[in-house]
Amino acid sequence: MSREELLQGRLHPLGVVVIGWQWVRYAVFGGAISALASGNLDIVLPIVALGALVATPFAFLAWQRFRYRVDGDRLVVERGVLVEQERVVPLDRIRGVDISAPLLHRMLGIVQVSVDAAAAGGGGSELTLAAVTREQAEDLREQVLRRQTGQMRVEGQPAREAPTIARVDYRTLAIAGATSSRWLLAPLVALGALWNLIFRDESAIRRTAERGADLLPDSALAIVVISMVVIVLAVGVAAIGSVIIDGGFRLMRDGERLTAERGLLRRRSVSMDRGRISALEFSDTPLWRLVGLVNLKALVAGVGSGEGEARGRTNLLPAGSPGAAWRLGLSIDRRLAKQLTAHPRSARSRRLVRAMIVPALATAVAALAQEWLLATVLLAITLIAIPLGLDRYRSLGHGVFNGRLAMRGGSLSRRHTVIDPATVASYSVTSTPFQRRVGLCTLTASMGRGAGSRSALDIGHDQTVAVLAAAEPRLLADFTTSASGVSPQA
Amino acid sequence: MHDTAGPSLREPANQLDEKVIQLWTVEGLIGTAIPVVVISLIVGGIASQSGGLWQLLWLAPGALVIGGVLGSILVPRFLYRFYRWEVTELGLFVREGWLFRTWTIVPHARIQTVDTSSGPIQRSFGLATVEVRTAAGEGVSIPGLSEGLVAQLTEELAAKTGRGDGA
Repeated sequence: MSREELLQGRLHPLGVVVIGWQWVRYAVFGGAISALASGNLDIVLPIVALGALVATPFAFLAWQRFRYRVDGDRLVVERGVLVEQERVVPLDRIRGVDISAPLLHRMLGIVQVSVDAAAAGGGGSELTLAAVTREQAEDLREQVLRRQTGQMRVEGQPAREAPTIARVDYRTLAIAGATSSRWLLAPLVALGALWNLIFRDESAIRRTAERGADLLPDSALAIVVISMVVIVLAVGVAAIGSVIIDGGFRLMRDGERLTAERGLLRRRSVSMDRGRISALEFSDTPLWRLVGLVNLKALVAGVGSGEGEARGRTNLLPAGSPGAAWRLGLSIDRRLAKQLTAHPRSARSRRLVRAMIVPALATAVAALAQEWLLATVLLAITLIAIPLGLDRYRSLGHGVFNGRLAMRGGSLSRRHTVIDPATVASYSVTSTPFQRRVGLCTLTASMGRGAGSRSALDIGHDQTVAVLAAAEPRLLADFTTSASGVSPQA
Repeated sequence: MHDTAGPSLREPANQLDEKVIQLWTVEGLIGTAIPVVVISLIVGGIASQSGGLWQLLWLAPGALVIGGVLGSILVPRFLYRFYRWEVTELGLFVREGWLFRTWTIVPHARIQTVDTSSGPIQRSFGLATVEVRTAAGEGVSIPGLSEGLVAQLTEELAAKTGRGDGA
């Protein structure tokens, strides 16, 4: 792109009013609260006047110091009252330029511009030009969007019928729902809430419950039968819920575009660009492994102003056999590979220690205090922690195969993520003193906003370097040879 | 000592500007002074009303002064010592932390924005902060660089940003 199309500007003078108001409104709010609290209306005016007195010089400085320009292929904004800030945003990273006119702006005949820079998740990601003329806003939008490529939008409905590449039948969905821990836990949570309600509140609720309790049979058999009925009901509800939410699921593919449709009562549809998929993620739970089911999701980095599923995680297969899920995955990403490298043995000891240390210490304390019953219970928990720790270690796996970065982990429920390294925004390696002692660390790959980050827990030092070398060959060479960039001596 | 301990990634080449130690010390002292004054006012109020053991309350602001001053002097030296950064041909490379160490690698191609900021105290030391954000939302910030270097670094990062993927 040539540099001659330089566009620059500053805020409209009325920006002082707009920026000032942003501060004065707090004074107005504070004044209103004080007036309400004291019952004295006269207090409002002095507070607001004081607010305006303080805010005006700030607003003036903020207006005066604000400059923006499109310089070559980037947008540069300078601003700041006390803290001087300069923000540089490459144009091709800008996802949208939003022109709006809130009430005050409309009264003043100006607009405000928000530039979505696709950076941080927090408020810092947006650049706002608080007050400009409509022409300025449109010039800027045109300059920025001219460079935009490959914008993706999520629509309510697919453009046309595309071939279906995956379906899930009702039977599978029902089994998946009935065996899903999420659904099984729901009634337990409800019971817990009820329990809380009864034992915290002494009034009517408890009396009602006690009257109800008189009606309950007190034989052990009856209690078992009732519990069974409750469990069967919960499983039934879970199965039905799953069918309602994901019923009639189908995944369609139209060239590079994938569209997932689901829902028995309310049909939902999500579209995504195949190229936007950062990672494919296979997840399951012990129960699902038992019945041979796995879930496949696509992790998609933040796109457009999409809501909900539009950015983040999208189901490609709510539930299916592992074979079907991996075949589907392979048809979406031809370089998908299932292999994993195990983590070092020291990771196993570490997982065991981590799982057992708290209950073991508690057991020791209880034993010292001669609380034998408590000690026995805690000892049992410590013993249960052993298989949990071993399972946690068995879950761990990582590797780079076919140019894809794989990471697996989780306690009981497992998550096997296969990431396209080209979508990784940054890598970080962290190590605690305990990890360092046994030659381990944690490698984290952060993908675009929405897609989140995934970590390889307790990976070996040499393995980390091997992973980075394989995933980003050029990169690693760069971080093991001498520098060539900016340095204080340069 | 640290080379055997970490993954065999090398150390980034540069340290922060040495003036950052003084900056952090000043900021730490200011950060200490404000609560000390507030607490002293409260304690003074209570202690003047009632005598005797209540005078012991003065220990609280006293301890805060000692802890704050010591911390302001020692912690910045520590942070400075264990913070290293570098801009290489392909990415930004930062290593920080002593007990809990973090190496962060941000390829230039994935950098979204480069922010520069400097507060009044920072400016009086001739320092500024550069913050690099990626699509992942997490930022990497390099605190305490001299203003001249910041300009050079921002220029270099901005020039390299967005390149390398397709090229």
